Amino acid sequence: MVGIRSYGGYIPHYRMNRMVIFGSMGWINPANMLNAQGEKAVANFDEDSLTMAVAAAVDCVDGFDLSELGGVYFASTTAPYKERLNANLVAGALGTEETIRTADFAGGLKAGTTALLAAIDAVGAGNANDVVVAASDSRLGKMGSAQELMFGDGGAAFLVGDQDVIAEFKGAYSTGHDFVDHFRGAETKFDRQWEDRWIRDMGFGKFIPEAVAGLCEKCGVKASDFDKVIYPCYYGRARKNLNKKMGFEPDKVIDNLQAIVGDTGVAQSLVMLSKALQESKAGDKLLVISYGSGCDALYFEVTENIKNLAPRIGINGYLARKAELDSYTKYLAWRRMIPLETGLRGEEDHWTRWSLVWRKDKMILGMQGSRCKKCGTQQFPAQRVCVRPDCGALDEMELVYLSGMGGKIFTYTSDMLAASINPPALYGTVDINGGGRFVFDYTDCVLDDLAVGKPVDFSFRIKFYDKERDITNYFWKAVPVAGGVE
Amino acid sequence: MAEGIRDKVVILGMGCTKFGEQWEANSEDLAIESFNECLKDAKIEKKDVQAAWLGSHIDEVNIGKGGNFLGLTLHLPLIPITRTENFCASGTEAFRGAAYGVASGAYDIALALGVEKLKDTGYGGLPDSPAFGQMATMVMPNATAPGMFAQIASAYSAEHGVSMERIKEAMAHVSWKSHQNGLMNPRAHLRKAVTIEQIMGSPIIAYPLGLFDCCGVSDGSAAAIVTTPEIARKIKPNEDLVKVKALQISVSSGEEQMYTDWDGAGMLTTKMASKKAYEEAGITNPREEISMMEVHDCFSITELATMEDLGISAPGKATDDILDGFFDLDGQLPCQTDGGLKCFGHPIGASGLRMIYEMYSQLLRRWPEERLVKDPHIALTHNLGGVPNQNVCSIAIMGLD
Amino acid sequence: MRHVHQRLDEEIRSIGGYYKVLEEELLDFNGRKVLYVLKGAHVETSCCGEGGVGYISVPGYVSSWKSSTNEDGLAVSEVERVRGKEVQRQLRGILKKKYPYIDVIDFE
Repeated sequence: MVGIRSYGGYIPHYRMNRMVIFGSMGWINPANMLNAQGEKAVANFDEDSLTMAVAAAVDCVDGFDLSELGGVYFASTTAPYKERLNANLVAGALGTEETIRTADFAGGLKAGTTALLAAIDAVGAGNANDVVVAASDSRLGKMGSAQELMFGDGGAAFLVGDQDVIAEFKGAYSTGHDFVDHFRGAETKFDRQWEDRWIRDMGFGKFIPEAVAGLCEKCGVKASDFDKVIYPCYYGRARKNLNKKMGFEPDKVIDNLQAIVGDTGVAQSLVMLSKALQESKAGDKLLVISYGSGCDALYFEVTENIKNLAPRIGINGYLARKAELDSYTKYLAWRRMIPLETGLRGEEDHWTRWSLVWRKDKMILGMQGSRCKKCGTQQFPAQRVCVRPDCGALDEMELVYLSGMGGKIFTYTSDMLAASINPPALYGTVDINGGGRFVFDYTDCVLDDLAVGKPVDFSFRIKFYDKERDITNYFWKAVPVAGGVE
Repeated sequence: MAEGIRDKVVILGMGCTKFGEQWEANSEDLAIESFNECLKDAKIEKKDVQAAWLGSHIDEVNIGKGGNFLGLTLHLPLIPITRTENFCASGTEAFRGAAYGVASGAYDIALALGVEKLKDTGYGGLPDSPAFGQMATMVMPNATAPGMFAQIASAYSAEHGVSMERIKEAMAHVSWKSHQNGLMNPRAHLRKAVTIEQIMGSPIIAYPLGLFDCCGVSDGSAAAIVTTPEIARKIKPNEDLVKVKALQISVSSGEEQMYTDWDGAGMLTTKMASKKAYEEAGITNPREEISMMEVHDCFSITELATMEDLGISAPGKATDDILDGFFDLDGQLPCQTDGGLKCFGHPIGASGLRMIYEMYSQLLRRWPEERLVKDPHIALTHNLGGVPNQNVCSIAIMGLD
Repeated sequence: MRHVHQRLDEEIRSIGGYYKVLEEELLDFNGRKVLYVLKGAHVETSCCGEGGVGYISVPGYVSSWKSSTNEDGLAVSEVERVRGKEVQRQLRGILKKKYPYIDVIDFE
């Protein structure tokens, strides 16, 4: 039986009330008032589609042995690299073996479900045991655009396999249409779209029913057989009409999170699927439809195994952890939408030495440390000579990945002088659970959240961005655990 | 068994420029000025200098690498010159090189000169260079020195159960005292008295360090000429002589950064270097035997923790000593008698030699009465370079013959 | 607690930079008057960076207003610190509304 073995989700910590955007930019496009309801999720200054995909994937594979993993697939239309396989960074952050199949999926918004189908096909054909699929987007609309209000940031991830599946894959139906409602050229940062009424009536209005009809015919089911129906479409009125047209009862149609997250692009229907799985019971029949340059429709049935899957943080967990972003200009700075004065110091060059990065790849991406076989001391970064003063053994190390260990705050500070796009910079020393200590940035928090002894989790983040060469560098930061006991 | 440096070397002469923003001076001007004062004080000629050590931390802007700068600037006659770079201990390292050169018998007379010209970057602070190598850029926080040193405060508070309010009060006194001492010193970078209220009302730079808890950057140079006691006695038959009693360096082993035994409330290197220095100098009770000190007060919390690391204050008791005035100019063990890094200034490669210069001048009673420490015999200087979990500490002890 | 009123708009300088007291205001809060002080700092020559901050410090509830002068001729008030995380949070909220551009609010 092929299907989903586990799911994970990620919604960034910061949410922005859409009126904050409208309050700054409404003057140029007052009609946006109608789009300026609710809030949208905003990736922190040190997040992008790649880090959000990693966060969702980490959530997804928590507790699973990855030594037999067959592949890592990453889907996004806002990946940091055009050339340099982004999926390899996701795999590196998960600490997988390098002898696996890794692939990026991009181009249209249905690429997320296409990645999921590719994983299902690979497992089904016996070419891979388990495959991680992670999808995430952080799309941008121009200042004052409707897209700026409608788009949100987030990601979802799934572990596809044929053992202990919690949702069995029953079938799929796909279409590909060169229907250009939204597009970005290869050199373009901001989304561009055609007329809303055309997208609504000729896009969502035609292609979603087409996909549903195709799947039902192929799998011999009726629209009314499904317990949970997932499809993107942020036109509220059109959604109601589509439900009626296709015969879906409104209470079976999963909320698109438009009011609290926004349109997460490639991840949109997968974020909804992840959330739906978090709320599903055995026997539920799920219909998942993606939209964008065509559609994929996928049919899953939840199995008894869902009771055995340890709880995930998931979309629901991350939705509950939130802080308000009340500054529109901060949002612009975080998304690199405006030129900023960072001072002469900020103009100093920080080279990325790729041959050095290659040798330290597992330390940077996977937070790989070592454990001394002689004295048992865990240490980071991996050492050849044991750091324990009364041991000092040479080359007696086994390598260990430490990103999942969590830690405790040993020291902390809030630094007004450190060059940061989000001052004050918060950082300090963290004692890694099980041994080892290192100085980390703290993120998704304020000074008041920090205290000596407080537990932290590690989160994969952008370390620094080299704008001269368009290089995004990543490393792990420490996030204080919400409600963590000191 | 090594017998150490004690009493083998005499400081024959010293020189020190005014520290500050010297917009009109090149590194060359600064080096020439401190060297000339030093040469005059030593009562020798340039040709008598047989070897030199040049202390400088930042090479990128003015000095460049190697020892050439000093040879080319002073036109020293093809003698051996070695550039020492060991963070804020660079100046003391130059002094150590010269002292060891003389003590070994390799040279009769040697020069140590530290110089740093920092104000040519176009921005405040030190030049942005990868001090810990490229990997630090890839994985470490984009931390500043105040941010790294500030963490001592949170660890110190947790370790000793001393409230942050009490720590801040003691730090304000540390800063107030340096401003009082610096006010009287014509060569100090900043000569300005401040009140405790003004210090306490300053903004937090890196929690809990405020504006007045942090040192600045300055341009400046300091120099020393050292020789053997026998030669010194010949050159200065009727003068007091200052002898080197101990020179120690301790460098982090990585246990502070990576192993979890360190309490983070002080510096392991300072503890180690001072223990060895006391042994070398024959000091058994530093709190009673040391007459005065110049310690590395890059941040007020560093000075606070250093008093315990040096074994002057009992663990957890530094705030008591500080607030009791123990380290004030009229206290039992005056500290930062020239204003310290916070007022005299901090041209990195020159700082260690500047501290020795102040102690040397105090021992020889060269300052006006109001600035003099009462009846000093033994003086200690201390540098701490790098950051608390990865640093270099140097200790020098000197005393009257 | 003594609060010394510094001269407005005058540089108070350390080796690494300076700050100025820009405004001193009284705020009605919890049936009492709370003194807060708006300050700005520029750290332009500290050893390890350059930066600045606009910040508000809250000396506390005023128990006697400018009731004496110190040796420098500056007015001195008696204040009582604002303690308690919840009360500080409330006050921070009020000040944040008034000064949306100020991120640092300190309770001394």
